[in-house]
Amino acid sequence: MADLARPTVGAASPDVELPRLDGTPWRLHDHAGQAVVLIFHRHIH
Amino acid sequence: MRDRLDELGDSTEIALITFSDPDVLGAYQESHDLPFPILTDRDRSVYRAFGLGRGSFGRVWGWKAVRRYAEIVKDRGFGELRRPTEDTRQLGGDFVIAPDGTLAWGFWSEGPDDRPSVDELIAQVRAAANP
Repeated sequence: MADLARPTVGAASPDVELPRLDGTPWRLHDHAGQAVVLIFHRHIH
Repeated sequence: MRDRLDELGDSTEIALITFSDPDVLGAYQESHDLPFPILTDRDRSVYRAFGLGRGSFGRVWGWKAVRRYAEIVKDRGFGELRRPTEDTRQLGGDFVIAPDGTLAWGFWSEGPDDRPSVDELIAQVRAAANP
């Protein structure tokens, strides 16, 4: 499988808009002004 | 990580992203006492946007994984083993986004045991928050 292109450190982050467990959306841009840590999990089950 | 959240400062947002079925994640969040949101990326589009693909079979299912499963069987018997229902080759990663929205740091895992240390992650968050 070809490697996926990685986003560039120092450039704008890829946009993130995903649902929380209760279905409400979480948006990266709602956290402008804060440092944000995104932890991408491997499989759970 | 959970035990050192206070070292990140009050203004740092943390989110855990998974591609698991949301129906099983509530119990996961509760059992692990996670104080930050779990987000679901079922089609893994955000994984791909961050350059997180699938590892090779040999890397993901190397001898370390076999040894780990052997330990489970030894300690708890075969009853504790379950067939995976998800893509076991999907790789993970860790990223720090600076307050201005730029990608400040990234760690792309190359296998299941390849994760940054908590010390490294905390240092990167501090650097991003206080450039």
